[in-house]
Amino acid sequence: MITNEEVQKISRLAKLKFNDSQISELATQLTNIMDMIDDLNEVDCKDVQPLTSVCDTKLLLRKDEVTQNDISDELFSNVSGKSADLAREIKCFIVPKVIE
Amino acid sequence: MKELIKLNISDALAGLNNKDFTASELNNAHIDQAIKYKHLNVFITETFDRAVAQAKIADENYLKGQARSLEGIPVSVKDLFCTKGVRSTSASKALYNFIPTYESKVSANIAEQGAVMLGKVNMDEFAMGSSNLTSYFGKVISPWKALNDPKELVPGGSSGGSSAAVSAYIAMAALGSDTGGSVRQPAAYTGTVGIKPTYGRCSRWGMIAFASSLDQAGVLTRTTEDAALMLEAMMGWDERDSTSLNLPVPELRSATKGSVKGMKVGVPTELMRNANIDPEIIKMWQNSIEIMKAEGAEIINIELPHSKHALATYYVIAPAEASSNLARYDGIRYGNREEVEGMNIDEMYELNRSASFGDEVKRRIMIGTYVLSSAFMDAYYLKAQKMRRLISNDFKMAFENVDVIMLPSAPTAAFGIDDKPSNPVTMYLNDIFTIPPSLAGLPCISVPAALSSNGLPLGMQIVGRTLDEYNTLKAAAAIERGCKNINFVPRGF
Repeated sequence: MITNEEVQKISRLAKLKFNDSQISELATQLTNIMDMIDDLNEVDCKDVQPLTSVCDTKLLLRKDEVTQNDISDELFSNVSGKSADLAREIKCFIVPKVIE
Repeated sequence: MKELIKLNISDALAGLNNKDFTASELNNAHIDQAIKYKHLNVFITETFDRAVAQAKIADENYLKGQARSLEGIPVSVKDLFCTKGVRSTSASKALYNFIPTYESKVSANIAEQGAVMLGKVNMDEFAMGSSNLTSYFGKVISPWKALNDPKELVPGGSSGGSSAAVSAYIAMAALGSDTGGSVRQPAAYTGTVGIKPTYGRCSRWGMIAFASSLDQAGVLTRTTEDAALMLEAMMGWDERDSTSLNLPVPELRSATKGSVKGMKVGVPTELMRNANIDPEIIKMWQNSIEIMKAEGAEIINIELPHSKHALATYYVIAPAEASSNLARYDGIRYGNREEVEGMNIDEMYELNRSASFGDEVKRRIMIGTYVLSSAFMDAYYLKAQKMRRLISNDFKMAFENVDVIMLPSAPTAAFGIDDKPSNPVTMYLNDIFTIPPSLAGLPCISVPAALSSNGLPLGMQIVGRTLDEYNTLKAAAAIERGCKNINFVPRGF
């Protein structure tokens, strides 16, 4: 059973905002989903190694080398909102003030 | 000669080589069909002008005798593949204005072989759904309708624009992606072929991520031979994807002409007893067994005892990975940005994300955040990863005795657009047959294998051993041959 308070707590962690009726609806829906997921409790997995990747091979690492020239124009091409032009001009992503 | 739009890729390539028609004529015929069936809402972004220009280049290459393996073939591309200079949205408001400055490896691979892109097709938002009802750009309507029933049907999902495009003869093939069944289930719903290779065969570079340990590119076509042709062009190692497999690309086309005599086909009979499966699906399954027997294959009963826990396992792992992958959508560097004067940064994140994601995506982010939260990490996420091991081991054991496994692609035929269930779990049950092999990273294909009593297509799924796309295609082609007298064409097309 997932309560409205738990939904509020998770939504803060997920950086999502919901109104009161959405929170109640989500509490019901997430409870239904978690009830289905609780089916995992039927199996004892105590001595089982978790499977994090289906790739049997060792993940390859590449050399840390510069392979691209200055692509800052490309990086800023998709900035949107009121401050987009300024962001492109000064080549900085613009956010509300975070340091007092 | 057949109408140009009705040709298979292999026939079209022969016709182009033979100068029976030009790539421009072939592409223009498909563009006309796309315009005629615009109400199906297949495309998010059409790129017809670009297609016309590409077709002209293809024509020149045919004249010069320099045609490549897919020269001039009109295809559509699911909108989660980033395409350089062409808007790529993953069907989300979060990316409604996103124009990539780079090209996904898979779409680049088919373009290098001369395929012509007609446009970017619709899908469930961020590939989360089985109906194409969660797209920010509206639902896709299947070209199929049941006998004597005017109700509009879903094309399946999440690659619903891809399946509708191929079954409505708008494209000869469509790139899709498959995380838990998103190529195979829409293929089953629309009478098309849908294949996903072994995890790691196709590079994920430039594919907008949903659940990274499961996401794999796939393709929808109208025949198994076309699926083989497309997949050969799509696959290949890419150093920019650390899970990409550095292996030679196998030749696949000959598989669809090969005999299955002596092939050992595993059937998980305990799944047949599941009460939630439509009796018509069971009938198709039994009929497919008879087809394989008649082709000389040996049928062997197998057990996949942990597959019944696959849905629960998937709905922990996929949302957990999704909640991490989708954390990047904050509206600051790209995508939809909303802001109100005086907001602090946390308020801005919340506003942007709440305004940009649809209900299903938010629900999955919430589940993912919950199962990854410190109090529940071991109980859910770690437990699901352990269960994934058991499910994968079941397949490994089964493949000690069989070459391929045969089970349905979906538990029912396509459902109505207005039949959306209120409980999300009901929708999730659509993927009960496709999720287990996805968790094991195995190659799988859905091939049309029957029409239901009300005239809708049903799909059979073949699952192969790791890296054995060849036998997967070979078995699917045997079913295709056994069903050659069934007309998998939507009425009116």
